[in-house]
Amino acid sequence: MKKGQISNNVRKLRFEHDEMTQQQLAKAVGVSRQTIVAIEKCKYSPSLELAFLIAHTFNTPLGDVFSYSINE
Amino acid sequence: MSSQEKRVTVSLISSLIVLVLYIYYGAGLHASGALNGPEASYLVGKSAFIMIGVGIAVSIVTHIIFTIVHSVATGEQHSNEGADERDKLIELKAMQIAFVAFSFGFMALLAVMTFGDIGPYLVILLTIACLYSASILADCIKLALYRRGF
Repeated sequence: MKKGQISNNVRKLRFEHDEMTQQQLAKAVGVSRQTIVAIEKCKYSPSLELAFLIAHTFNTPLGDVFSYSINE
Repeated sequence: MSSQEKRVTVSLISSLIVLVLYIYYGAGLHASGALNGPEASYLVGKSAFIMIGVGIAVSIVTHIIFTIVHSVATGEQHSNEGADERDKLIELKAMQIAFVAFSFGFMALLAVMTFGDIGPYLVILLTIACLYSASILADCIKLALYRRGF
């Protein structure tokens, strides 16, 4: 099975939304700040629900927040 | 360091302390030949209960000292964040690995008991030590997953 990687624009979107802090985003979606840090560094792939919550917080489609690429 | 990482670190330190104390106590029992005596079952049972009490006390003291030292060193205030999905996933992965590790350890003990010359009470002591070792391994894995990601 091919291995893929999930990347995201969470950090960029945070800055575009009134320079939202990691703590503010974490509180908005109900996780810890460290989880947001891990997501931004692509060290953790969020659950579907959390991904939707983040996209909803930024009022942005899910596909514009997270992207998936398959490593050939 | 998140509050969950701090909890894992405190758990790791206190488990290490308790394991060392337990091994020291168990080695003393074994060396004195008490595990082959008439009070072996009483001593083994008592050691388990004492370890639970000592474990709780060590955990509380370690938590207090760690919180104070960490607050002074980093200036961070203590937060009572609950476990989120990442914390639960990390705990699940660590428990899975620790369970497998304990299983191997227990099987090894059974093999030694079957083919070697080791008394049943010593096996009980070593099983409890194996449990604690698996708990320590779980904490180490959690810290590695928190740092490295998955």
